[in-house]
This record gives sequence, structure tokens and C-alpha cells, in this order.
Amino acid sequence: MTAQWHLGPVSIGVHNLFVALGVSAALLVFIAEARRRGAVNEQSVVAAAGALIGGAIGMRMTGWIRHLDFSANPTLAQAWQFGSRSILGGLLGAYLGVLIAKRIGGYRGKTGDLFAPAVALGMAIGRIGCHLTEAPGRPTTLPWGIHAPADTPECPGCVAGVAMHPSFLYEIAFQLTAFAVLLWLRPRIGRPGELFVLYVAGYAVFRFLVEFVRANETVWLDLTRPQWFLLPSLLILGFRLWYGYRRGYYRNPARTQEVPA
Amino acid sequence: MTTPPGPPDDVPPPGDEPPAFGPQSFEPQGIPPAYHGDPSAPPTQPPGYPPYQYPPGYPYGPPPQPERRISVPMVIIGPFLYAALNLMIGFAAFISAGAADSGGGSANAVLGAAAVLLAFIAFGGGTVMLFSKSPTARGLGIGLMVGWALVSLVTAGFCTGINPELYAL
Repeated sequence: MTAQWHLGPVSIGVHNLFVALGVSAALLVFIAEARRRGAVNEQSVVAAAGALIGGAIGMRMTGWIRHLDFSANPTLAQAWQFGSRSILGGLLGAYLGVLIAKRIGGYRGKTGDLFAPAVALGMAIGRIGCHLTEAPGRPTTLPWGIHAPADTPECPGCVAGVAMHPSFLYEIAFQLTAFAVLLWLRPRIGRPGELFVLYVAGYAVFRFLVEFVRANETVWLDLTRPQWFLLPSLLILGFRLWYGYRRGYYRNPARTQEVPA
Repeated sequence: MTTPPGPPDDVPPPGDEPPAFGPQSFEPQGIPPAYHGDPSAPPTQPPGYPPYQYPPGYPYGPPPQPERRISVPMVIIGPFLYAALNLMIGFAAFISAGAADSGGGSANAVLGAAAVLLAFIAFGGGTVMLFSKSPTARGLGIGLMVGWALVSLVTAGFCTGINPELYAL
């Protein structure tokens, strides 16, 4: 049973409410960013549509390839029905959705920088719903460990009544920090698309580390499924960052540098 | 009493003023001077050619606008249209599923059919509209797909017929 808040006769799913708020906030930041950059045009609309459609499908379909043993995976129809709502699947789907939508529309411009701060803020808000409804993390003796209701789904620590890592609060703190850093970096990195690369790389590193205190199931070598997905992704992102660094993508634009007298 | 100020030091003596056009004193001497020309002289037309017709507004007219391919207002209207369709079909599916369940039939089959129908409207209809040449139809096609995505994200699939609890009737 999912957690519900009651507003008079209306019941609202807590997780869904925060997902809705997160998506709404992300759309607002995206529009504001597009206006600030003078990019309110068809390409931005097509990119945003591709991200939404790809993200929604990606979140659903992640469960389809959950196990390496394909016989243990659900069918395509079952995955469509009972999708796991994975954030990583959603991000990957959104990225592919933007690429496909722009290819179909014949647009070649970079749009990732419009998405980077929007996704960070949207995920910070969406994770509040996860914190309120899901297993918070692995047991801990640290003073900021939290307890969760015993009826929280798939949470042995909740039943045992032990303190657990507030892993979603860690992620909210990361996303809010990332949002602020991206706003600070915005005028300092002139190369189109690099803000998004930096955000994705930062989130991949953070997510890999935070998985050690998340309540996700470990499948092999004490690593969770997201960590196994992230390992090759980190290699690719590391190569991409090295390539960008060597090419000077992260240097200050010349106009912002002071000329000595 | 004060003496009147004399001429400034940087004023050249009479007879040394540089000419308005032609070789200047700061140019290298002994080589042909740069052409300063007559700025008011119009460009000459080669004989035998018709006069060139410049486009209207040249050279100060606005640049030509790119062709509009998508109607952005329809992209915004599309999700609302999809949400209305979703509400009607979802409500009908609920009623039919309840009737099927009490009659010994399969409620899941009814709800599954509704989910397929909704996805078909969004993606099938949306794709067909995308192949249209009309910006309005293209915008509406994208809007229908965005509507499915938003309803799926916001309601965790409840209204799109893909909610696990809904199938546990």
C-alpha cells in the first residue's frame, strides 16, 4: 500500500505528489533557463518533449532488464505495467529521448545546459517523496540515523526498528548543492553542453557512493544493480571529462578574464 | 595682467596641414599611396548588364524568418486534451472492469485494453500527426505524447492503466 495524504475527501499519493512537484519545478526552471539564454524556440520544445517521453518510458522499462538471467526478467508487457520507476532509467531514457527527438526534428543545437539545473532541482524535490515513503537506507549507529514506519515496503530495518541512513536526504543535499554550483558555473563555462556533462558526471559519482548506504539489494561483489550500471558509465564519463579538459572546455571564456595593467 | 595663451604646441605650422585625401605624411613614402577615393561616388554598372535589383528593405531589413514547423501552443494544449481523453477512457474502463469482475470475467483484460488504447492514442495518433505537414497537427502530436508522459509520471501510471494496484482488483 502506498502512503497517502488526505485532503478532505481526496487522497493523494505522497510519492506521486512530490514527483509531480519535481517535474513541475524542472519544467519551470527549464523555461526560465531557455528565456535567459534566448532559446525559446522549436528546438527547445522538441527537446523537452523528448526528455519527458523518453524519461517516462525509461522509468517504466528499467525493470525489463533487471536480471542478467533473462528468464528471471518480466516480459515487455509486464515491465510496461509494473515498471520500477527508476531514476537512472528515467535519466537514460530522457537523454535518449532528446537525441531521438532532435534527430527526427532535424535539430543540431546543444540543449543539455537547459536541462542541467532543471533536473537537479526537480530531483531534489522528487526525492522528498522517496524519503517519506521508501526504505531510507542501511542500518547505522551514526547520530543522524533515522527510523521509519514498520509498514514501509521492502524495509527489514523498519520492521526491526533500527536507525538507518537517511540516504534520500543525502541525495537532496547533493542535488541542491549541484543546483547552486550549476548556477555559479553557468557564466563561467562557455562551451555548449558541458554543464550537463559535469552534472551527469557529478551525479554518477555521488550515486555510486551513496548506494553503499542505500537499502537496495546487492547482487554481486556487494554492489547493487545501480552500481553495476554506473561502473561502465563512470568510465565513459571520466574519459569524456578528460577529453573536455584537454580541449579546454572548462576554461573561463576570455571576456571574463582580467587583463593585467 | 596675464598674457594671452599662445597657440598649442601640437598645432602644425601653416602649410604643413595634411591633405584631406591622398597620401598622408604617416604613410610610407616611395610606394603607391593607399586609395582613399571619393566616398560619395556610386559604384559603376558594367556596360551591358541590367541594373541589380536589391531585395526589399536591403540592407536594413529584418532577416528572413525560418519556416515554422511546429505549433508551440498546440504542444501545450495537447497534454490537456490527452488528460481529458484519459479521464473519460479510464472512467469507462473502471466501470467496465467492475462489471466484468462481478460477472465472472477478467477485469485485468478490460483495464489492459484501456491501457493499450490510451498508449495507442498518444503514440499511434501522435506519430501519425508528426508525419503531417501542418505545424498545428505536428504540435498536437507531440502534445499528446507529452500528455501520456506527464500523466504517467505524475500519477505513477494510475491513469494510464499501468498502475500495479489497479491490476490487483
